[in-house]
Parts: sequence; C-alpha cells; structure tokens
Amino acid sequence: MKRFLLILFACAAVMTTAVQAQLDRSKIPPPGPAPAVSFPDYDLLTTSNGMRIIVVRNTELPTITIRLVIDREPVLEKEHAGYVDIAGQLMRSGTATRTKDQLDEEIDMLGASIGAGGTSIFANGLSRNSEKLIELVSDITLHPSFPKDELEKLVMQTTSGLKARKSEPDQIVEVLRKKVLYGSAHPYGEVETEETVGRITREKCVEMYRTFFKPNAAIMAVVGDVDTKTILALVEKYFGGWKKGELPKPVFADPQGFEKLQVALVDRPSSVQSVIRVAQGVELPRTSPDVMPVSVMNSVLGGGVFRLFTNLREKHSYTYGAYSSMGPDELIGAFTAYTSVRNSVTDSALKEIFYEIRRMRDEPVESVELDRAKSFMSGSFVASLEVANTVANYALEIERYSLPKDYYKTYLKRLAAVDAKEVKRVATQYLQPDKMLVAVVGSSKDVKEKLAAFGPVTMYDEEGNVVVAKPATVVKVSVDQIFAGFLQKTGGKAKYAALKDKTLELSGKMQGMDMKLKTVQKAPAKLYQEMSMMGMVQRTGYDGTKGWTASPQGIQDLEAGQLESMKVEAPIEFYSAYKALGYKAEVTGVKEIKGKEFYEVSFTAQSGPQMRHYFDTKDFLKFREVNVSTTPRGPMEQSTDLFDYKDFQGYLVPTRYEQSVMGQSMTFTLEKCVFNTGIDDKTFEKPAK
Amino acid sequence: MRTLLSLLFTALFAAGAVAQVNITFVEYDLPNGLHVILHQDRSAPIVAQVVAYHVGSKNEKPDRTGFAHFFEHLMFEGSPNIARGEFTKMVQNAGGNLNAFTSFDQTVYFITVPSNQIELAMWMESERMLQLKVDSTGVETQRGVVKEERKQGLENRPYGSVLEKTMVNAFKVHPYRWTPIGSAQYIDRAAIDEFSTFYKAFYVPNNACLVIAGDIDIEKTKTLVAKYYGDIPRGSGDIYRPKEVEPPQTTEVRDTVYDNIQLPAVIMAYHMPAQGTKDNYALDMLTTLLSGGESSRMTKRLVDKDKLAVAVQSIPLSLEDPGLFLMFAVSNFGKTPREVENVIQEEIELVKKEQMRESEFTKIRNQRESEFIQKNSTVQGKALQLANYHLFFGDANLINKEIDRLMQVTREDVQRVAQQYLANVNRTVLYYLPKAQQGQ
Repeated sequence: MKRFLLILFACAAVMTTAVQAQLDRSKIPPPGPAPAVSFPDYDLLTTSNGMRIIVVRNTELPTITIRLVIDREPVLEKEHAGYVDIAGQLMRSGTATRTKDQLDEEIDMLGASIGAGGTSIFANGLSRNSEKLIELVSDITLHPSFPKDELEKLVMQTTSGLKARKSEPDQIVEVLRKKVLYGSAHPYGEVETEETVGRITREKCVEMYRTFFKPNAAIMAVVGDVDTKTILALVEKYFGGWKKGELPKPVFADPQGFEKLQVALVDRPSSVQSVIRVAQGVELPRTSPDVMPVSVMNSVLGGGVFRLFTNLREKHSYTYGAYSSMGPDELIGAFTAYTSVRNSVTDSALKEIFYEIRRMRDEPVESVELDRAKSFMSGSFVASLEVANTVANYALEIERYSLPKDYYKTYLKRLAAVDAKEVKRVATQYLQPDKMLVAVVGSSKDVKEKLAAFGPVTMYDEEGNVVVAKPATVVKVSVDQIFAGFLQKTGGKAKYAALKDKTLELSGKMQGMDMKLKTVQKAPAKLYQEMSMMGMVQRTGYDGTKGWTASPQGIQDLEAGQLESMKVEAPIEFYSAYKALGYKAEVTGVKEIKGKEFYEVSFTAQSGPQMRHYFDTKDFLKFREVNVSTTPRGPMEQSTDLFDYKDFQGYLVPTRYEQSVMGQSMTFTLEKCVFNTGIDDKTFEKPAK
Repeated sequence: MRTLLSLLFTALFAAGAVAQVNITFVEYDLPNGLHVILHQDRSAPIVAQVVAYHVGSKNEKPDRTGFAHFFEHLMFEGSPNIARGEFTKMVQNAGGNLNAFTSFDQTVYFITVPSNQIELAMWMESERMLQLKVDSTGVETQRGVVKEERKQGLENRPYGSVLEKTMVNAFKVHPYRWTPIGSAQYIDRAAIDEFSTFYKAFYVPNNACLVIAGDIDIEKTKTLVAKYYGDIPRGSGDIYRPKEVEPPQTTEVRDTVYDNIQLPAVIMAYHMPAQGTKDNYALDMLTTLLSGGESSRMTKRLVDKDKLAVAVQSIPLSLEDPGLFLMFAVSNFGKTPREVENVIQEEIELVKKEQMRESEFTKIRNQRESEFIQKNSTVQGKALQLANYHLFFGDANLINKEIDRLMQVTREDVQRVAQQYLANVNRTVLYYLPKAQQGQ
C-alpha cells in the first residue's frame, strides 16, 4: 500500500502578507495557557514468588523494554573489588542450555539486545517477540552457568579497560574522588584494579549470584506495546521456578569527611587541561523533604546554563562547560562541581567555583534566577514524561526507596513551593566549602603550586594511592659552583681553555640493527653529526649560523625546530655558552637515582627545548641529561644517562650512554674519542651534493 | 526440505513483512525559500523546533577551518531584541532546552519547549535567522570557549584525534580533509567582519529547513510560521558549495600516531559513495554484518574468540559527498595493531570470497528493522530526522521509508561492495600507539 503525503497548501503568500503587519519583533511573545500535564499510569503487581512487576504501557512504537533490577544494599567487595559487576556480566555469557554463541545468535536474530550487570538485566526489542525476550531473560536470570573460559575473557577485557583508564583523565578523577572522599572502607570508595579483578574466581561469581539473585529482591519494569495481564502470565510462566530467600542487610559507617579543605592531585604530565572535581558527601536520603529544595539549589548553582557555566565559560572563557550535580542516596549522597579548564587558569577557575558556592550560602537567590531554575526543572520534568522508560524509572524509584506512591504526581506542586529562603537554608546546611575535597587530574609541573593556595596538596597515582614524596633537601650550592665542579673534575680550567675540537665515535643497536654515530665539534659552537645504519647514512651540520641535513634523499636546510635543537647541542663547552643561547639555569632540587644523590639543574628559555642536567653531589660528575621538547601532542621527554667516565688526553668522557624516551631505551658505546686534531671548517658547511 | 524452508524464510522477509513506521507530516515552501515541515504528535505537551542550515565545515576555506562551528557558537549571542547572554536563559525560563551542532555538511539548531511556548521558540529562532547581532566581546569569549572545547574533546582525550587524523590522511583535495572543530591557529585568525559575510551568505531561509514537531495544531502553526519566518528576506547571493572532487585513491596510505594511551588502536578507512546511493546502502548493511551485535563477524572473531580486541566497530561515515567506511578496533593489552589488522583483513577477505549465509542475511535485516523502528521515539529526534532527510535526500518521507532501501540490498550486493570498495589501495590505515613505544 502506498502511503500518501499530505500535500502543501497554496495560499501561503496571501496569508503571510496579512499577518506580517501584526508582528512586533521587539516584544517577547507571551505564552499560551499552560497545557495539562498527565502523569502516565502504570501497573504494579507482585507474582506468587514475590517478584514485583511494573508495567508501563506505551503503544507509540511496537517495542518492548525489560529491566530486571535487584533491590539490594551496596556490597563491600574488598580484595575482589569489581566481582559483583563481573559476576553479573558473566550471567549473560552462558546458561544451562545455551552457550554464549547461541545466546548471541538468538538475540541478534530477533533484532534485540540483552545485557547484564551487577545490579540488573536489561532487554530491548520488538513487542512481537515479547514472549521470546522474557524467556531469554528468565534463562539468563535463573540458569546462568558461569563458564570459566568466559570469566577469563571478561577478566582480560576488564583488565585492558583498567589499563586504558590510566590515560583517561575523566576516569582517573572519578577514581580519585571516590577513593579520597569515601575512603576504601566504604562501598562507595572501593576502586577495582587489575589486582582485585585478577583475584576473581568462578566460585566468587556463583557466591554473588546465590546471595543476591532472589525473586523477592527483584523488580522488573516492562515498558512498551504490551498489556499487563499478558506480561504477568508470561512472568509467572518463566520465573515461577525461582526460589525466594533472604538477603544480607549490612550496615556501613558513614565516611569521616574532612576537618578542612583537601586537595588531591594526580599528575598527568601530558595534560593541557586540568580536570577538576570539587566534591563533598551529603547526608540526604531520598525520603527527605530537603531533596526538592536541594535540587533547585543545585540547578541555580550548576544545572545547565546557570551560575557555574555563566561564570567560568561565558564570562571568563576558562572552559567549554562547568556544572554541578547533587543527589540523594540512602547511604550518603554527593555534591560535585565539575569542569575541565586549561592549565594556566586552574587556580582562577577554582576561585570562581568557590565564589559561586559561597554565594549560594551567603545571599538569597534573586527571584528572576529562582523562577528560571524552577521553570527549567518543570519543563525538563514534563519533557521527560515523553519517554516511557523514564516513567518506568520513576516507578522503580518509588518501589525501591519506599517513596510515597504519588511522589512524581506531586513533583510539580512540590517544585512550585520552593522559595529563596529554602534554597539558602539548604545551601548553608549542606554545602561546607571549607571542608570540601578538590580532586584534580592535571600537569603537576603547571598546577601543583597553584593548587597549594587552596589547601595542603596530597599527590596520588592513577589508582588513588598516595604517592610518598621525599622530603625536599635544602640545597646550598649554586649553579656556578656545580658547573665549575664539573669542569674541574672532567679536565680542569686549563684543559678547557685549550679545547679546540672534539671527535666521538659511538656504536649502538636500534630495533636489533647495528648503528654507528659520529660527532665532531669545533670551538666555540660548530657541530657535525653522522649516523649510519643498514648502509644508510644521515648527516647533519651546523656551522654557527646555518644548519643542514643530508641523506640518500638529498640535502636540505634544517627546519626551525631542528635548528634550535642543533644550536643547543653545538657548543663544545655548554656551561659557558648557555646564557648566550638565552637560557637561565637554576638548581631545582636534589634527586635520588638508584641510591645516589644528584643536583638537579634546570635550564629554561623562551624557545628551544627545556633541559635538566643531573650532577653527582659528591664529585659533580654529570650523570644524566634530560631534554623536554613540545610536540603537538604535548611535552616529550628524552633522557640520556652517562656511565663509565674514562680519561682521553686529560679529559674525562663517558664511555657508555643510555638513551631513553618515555621508558624505552637504547645503549651506545664509545669506540673512539680524540681531542684537538685540527678540524677543517668545511666539515660543518652544507655540502654541494 | 531445508532449501524449501530457507526459500520460504527469505520470501517472508523479502515480501517486506516489516513493521511499519507511520509518521505523518505536512511540508511546503515559503516564498523566501524556507522549506517547512510540520508533524503533529500529541503524546506529550511539548514542541520541538529544528532549523537546519545547509552549511558545514566543508563550506570553509582551508585557512579558516573551524569557522562554521565557531559561528554556531555566535548564533547564541542575541539580536537587537535579545540581549547578549539572554538567549539560553529565555528558553530555560520557558521550561525548555536547546542546543546545536555542526557537522561536515550542516549546522543544526534545536529548541524544545512546552507546547504553550511555541511562539517564543519561533520568535527566537527567526530573530537569529533575520538579524543576529555579534559584537567583539562575544567573538573573543567564544574564541576562548571553542579552543577549550577542542582541548577537552581532542587534545586532552585519549584517541581524541582519531577523526582528525583519519580525514587528513584520507582526503588530499576535498574539504573533508579537515574536521568541524578546525584548528586553533585558524580559530585565532577569524575576524568579526568575516562572520558577517558568512552569515549573509549561508544563514538565509533558502538555505534552510524548518521542522516543528509535537503538540501542535497544523493550521495554527502554519499561520505562526508565516508570521515569524515570512518576513525574512531570501538570500541574494550564490551559496558557495565546494567544487572539489576527491580523485580516486590509488595507493594505500599508512601512518602511526603516538598518543597518551595504553591500548593500541587500529583505524582503517575506505572511500565510499555518498549517502543515498545504492552502494552506500549495501556498505551500510555490511557494517551490521561486521559489527552489529554480539554475534557479528568482527565482534565474534576479534573480541570473543581470538581475544585480540577490547572493542571493534565498523561505521559508515556517510556524508553528502563521498565519505568513508571506517573500521576501528582497540586492542587488548599486549596485542599489537599488526595482529589486529591481520585478523580484520582475514574477515574482510572472507566476506569478499563467500556470500553470507541465508540465516545471517535474515539476522542483519531483522537487526536493521528493529533499529529503524526504535529511532523515532521522541519529537526532538523525529524533527531532527525530518530535517536531515529533506536537506540531504530531498524526501522527508524517508523517515518512514528508508528501511525499504536497506531491505532491497541483496547478499550479492554486500559481497560485491566489499570486493569493490574494501581494497587496500582505496584505504588509509592508522596505528595509534602509546607514546612509550615511540623510538622503537
């Protein structure tokens, strides 16, 4: 059957002219009469074995969604952190009569999807397959087989995910926030790691299932083009064999909270933004009458385009977005203000966040703002009723938390009743800015000092463990003393005055292939380098002003970045040349490497790589050079360690070099070293061909 | 017996026993060229309004990448009748919400409000179509915001640069070689008078489609549309559409990107025909065969059986001009991109060599049918789709019918397009490696 479009109409032109005269664009159009809001009804029934069923009928689309939730207390997983969720996922990986392959094929053939986790099993598909879907959910729920090989697979995938988590700043900050705010003795503060997940056994998964998966703890929400009688009959048919049982009812001590504001920082050197969470626990069960005013208060502070957004984004351009969330919970609720800002404004952004939090407590909110928040929340609520699954979620909440049956029917009325006085009261009562947690994932080098202004900063690693810092040693020596010491140790003033040229030849291996490297330097700062590998030779030269490179592909001038690197490498004696190159040097600390102590000297300049050199505190011999260059993907560190100094014509020169870039290393051995042989200037000039 | 049954099976589905989607609507053009689509849905007391402008990142000049998206931000700056900073607040005051997005081919603005506020939504949207006001404070503020958006989504995010790197490698000539977010250096150079020129050129009713869906009366809404949008003048100039045609790729492109990641990833991108074409639909069905659902070829092989990948996805980047057929896989810890690529290649060769089984074919058709039906559950979603179907396919009724085009794809078609388009010379392969591996 062809469908016919309703056709366009012809009188548009005439109508437009007639109406145009009435439009005054300078006036905001007033609203029409408010439409009636009807809260969709739902059915709530209980089966003979105690399962609660919520049915929300919606005939708009021929679909069905099933969500089976286990209503239980949170679980303290301890050394098996992660097992509850993995056990839940494992249920989907095989039943007594179906392997995972068979489940996958059957579900895909229906054009459906079914997933399982630690708290719920979820299915979605076309309503004409309702019975099939309920049967599949029942098979997974009642007869999971927990195959060992599938568990191994899940553990492997979870482990990969946990490794990946180490690079994701948003995930790291969430680990940090949970662990520090709640503490690891509380179920909300537990963090799964590769270690904890690695300990999970099949027995542990079965134990989880036997403890929690009981019909009297299960609430199933069914939404879509269904009817209640049919659903009840199907559930009785397929879930009838499920046996009732008691669930444990653990009690948890509330997290301690802090006496004063804490700052927790995870160093992520490559970060170009600081990912910030300002967090606090709040005692706010869902049945509390404060839940609604708290919701309004949070809306004004950080819901959508409100105070945090307007301040940090629209006014200051610190960020793409800044918001806050605040929700109730039977154990402990949470307040979180969150944003990501560029490194340089980390402190300014935090200052503004606290300014807005304090303003909520100290000043009553203006009626214009309050009305806007309430309108926004009211509109959002009404719009949410369009989605039948949302209605089901509301119904689930009422069931789980023993809320009044008309909780959502009275939502708009309770919202309208919130006034500025209430908003200020809950802000003052629940928000304690002086005792909040500031959790940040960012570049410690750029932001740690800025954060120190807010409170004592504790460093953490990506899994939320405290990083123990060595106490800072008071350094009494100056850069000049260090350089003088180094020069004295490696040759002495007279020898360095007489230094005209230096030639080194090194051998090494890169990716299993032999490599030869030759370096020639002529005072004050001419440099020639030659590298050969697999018969291919690459040469670079710097004659004091210009730089070039030659390879089998041809001869080219060096690009700006490479030229800068050459300039810095070229001086035959760097410590008398660095100032002229635009560098400042300062002693930035003492570092312990493999049991020995070294002075750290940092070189900084407007352009060119930043460097750190490390000198033995006992004899000033240089042990390490670190180069930090900026790439489009962030800072890249290259480090060279110097070993086995030997005497060549009165100069001490390292004979073994270990170079590493972000953890991967190559070793070079010195084959030949000669000084003052008389080198022609032509060596450093760009060849003709 | 088995053949008979399978023939019966195929016949059942070939006959189009597909659940029907029946979204009714009215459409027409205003004299100023604005295309209007109205759809009534009284199930909730809300109205969704969408305006889609036929301009995106591909209409930009190479030294002004990110411009269309930057401009999208400026569309919230107000008009002579709406003060700076008030635009979003006004919608929220009315109990509504709003947002916008910029893609390669279009920029779309949407406002959803309670149904008694429909005139407010129309007034606001028509104000910024008619007389957007942008001052230098607005431009400088949004310049900073857009750069933070780029940092958050691309520079500070693992794998954030995948699309950018893929496009620049796959396209040498066509403006698809840059992505909507653009580059910070050009974002810095955009000047206020250039925005004015852009606005006058692209933000005109004859380059736009207006959709209103929800708790509306069709006749009353037509009157309102005429009232608010009727007086906006048609654009006078030609609308710049890029003329570049990407020449066929004849050599494989390969590159490595070192990123702040732990798990290596492989991206494979093949040139494919534009959306709406026969082969595009066949390639679309191919993505379901490869990665739609737990039993799909790639998922089953790479994730489930060989445990090479944490996740694998094939995605049709279907665009107005020829786009890309993408494969993206994140490897399990300890696995190399080379291993992952080899197995993906094996699976691709299998598809080319043998037609899929009948049962597989039925399966992917069921999956796509189910997906199509579930697409249309909110008025905002429907409005966005209606605009999209009109703008790029010239047929808003595809919201009901596009599934038929997918259902016309045969097993032969899928095998053929795999052979034709998934050729090495037609592709770009990127390895994403952890920075720790640089120098190896």
